[in-house]
Amino acid sequence: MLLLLALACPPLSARTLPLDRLDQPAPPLSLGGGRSLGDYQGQWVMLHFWATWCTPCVRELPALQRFEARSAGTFVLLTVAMDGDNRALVEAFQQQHGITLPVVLEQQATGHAPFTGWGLPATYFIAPNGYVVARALGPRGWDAVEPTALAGQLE
Amino acid sequence: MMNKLLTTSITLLFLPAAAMGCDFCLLQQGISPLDSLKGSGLRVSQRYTRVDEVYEGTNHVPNPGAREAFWTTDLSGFFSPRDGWLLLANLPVRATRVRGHLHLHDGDHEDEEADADAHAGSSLAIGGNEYEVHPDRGGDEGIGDLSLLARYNAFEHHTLTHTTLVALTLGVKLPTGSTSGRTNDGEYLDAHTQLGTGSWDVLAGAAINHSFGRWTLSGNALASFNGKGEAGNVDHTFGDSLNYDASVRYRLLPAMQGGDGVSVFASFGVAGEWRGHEKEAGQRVRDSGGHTLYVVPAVQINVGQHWIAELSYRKAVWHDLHQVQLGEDFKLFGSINYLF
Repeated sequence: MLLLLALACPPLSARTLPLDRLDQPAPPLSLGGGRSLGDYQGQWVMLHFWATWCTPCVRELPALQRFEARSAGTFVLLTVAMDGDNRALVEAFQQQHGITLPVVLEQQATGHAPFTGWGLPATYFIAPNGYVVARALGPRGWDAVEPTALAGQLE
Repeated sequence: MMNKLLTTSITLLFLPAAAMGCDFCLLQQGISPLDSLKGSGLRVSQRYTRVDEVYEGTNHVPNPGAREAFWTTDLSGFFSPRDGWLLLANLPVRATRVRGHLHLHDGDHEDEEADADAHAGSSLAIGGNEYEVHPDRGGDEGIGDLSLLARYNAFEHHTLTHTTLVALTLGVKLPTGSTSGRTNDGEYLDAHTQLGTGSWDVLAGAAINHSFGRWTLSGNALASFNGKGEAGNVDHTFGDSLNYDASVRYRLLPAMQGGDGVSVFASFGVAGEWRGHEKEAGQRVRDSGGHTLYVVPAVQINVGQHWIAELSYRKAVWHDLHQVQLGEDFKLFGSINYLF
């Protein structure tokens, strides 16, 4: 009976994600070069933290890149590589793995601490009003996620 | 990686229930709701319980020679069919050993000479009653009572720096363990040294977790409402029980989680078990039930994304047992978990 009760609950669509729901203003986050997270107000932002030394992060990145290609116009994807200020390492990694996602280095991302306290990889969804509305901790199967369905889930 | 690490902090929060000579009653409370939101896996745990301390109420009195020990291997599987739900099955595989059984002498001897031979040098007088140690030897081995549980995350609150979860648990314990184990003399073992209870029991509980930074605070409670069972050839019903614990856990390393390496956590908690009186053949068993408190230091090691190991020591520090009983001394617990 317990099993039936559990199964009776409507499942998430396979095209969406299990997410932690939040509802708080995004703290200030610098993105280097005079940019900040606040520059993207008015758009849906996916803010993704990873590192070259984080094996699950590395495994996830290709699928995340494919998701980014499918989500043009739905989400703006920003990534922060928690590799200190080692630009050469990160660029070599990107070249080796064919990763063309925009990457901000940890050293440039002043104010990242509230986002990275739970470990890596971590993905945060920031609504157009500047509020952090959800997060996904740990790697995700991004190939199975449909951007517009995910946007609907976040609304 | 993060979810699986969270998922398997179960070990520290999956604290087994206590026993006052009732090791088979132990039921792990289930995986922490903070940790198992999205996980499925298997768990093998090993538990050793020693019961050789005699108490009259809260007073520790000399043990005239009774001792019980329990080795229990628990096989658990857990599965998350939907976000926020967890289903758990736990099957104990037990080995019980008895060396001396503490018994209240009712003064009605048919063969006083035989009784004197059997019990010479192994009695204890407390409060006008004489307690004897019957020199029983024996035990049993096999599967215990299967438990099936479902847990639902009833409340979640997430911020960038904190997460709070409250979960509710409901389950049932099935009478799959044997209740006909015997001593070396051919007598039936006492109920609490049988592999099973012979009863269907209802389990209900709640858990709360609060995490911030490297810290996790947890609280759990699990009640068991026990049906009528049996032990040997007599009806036996264990008293309803309530197991509870509160713990603090800290991640020693790494500073930031995210690799396939090793994470190490340290935990310290307090736990307790309250148990009602037992009934045997319809009669209340005077020397049964009570309350015990424990301190529980523990360590957890995660290796990669799939493996979790845990070791904990559960030391009884306070007993308030009804009349005179054997009380638990300590419990040593270890587990290996594999996450899919």
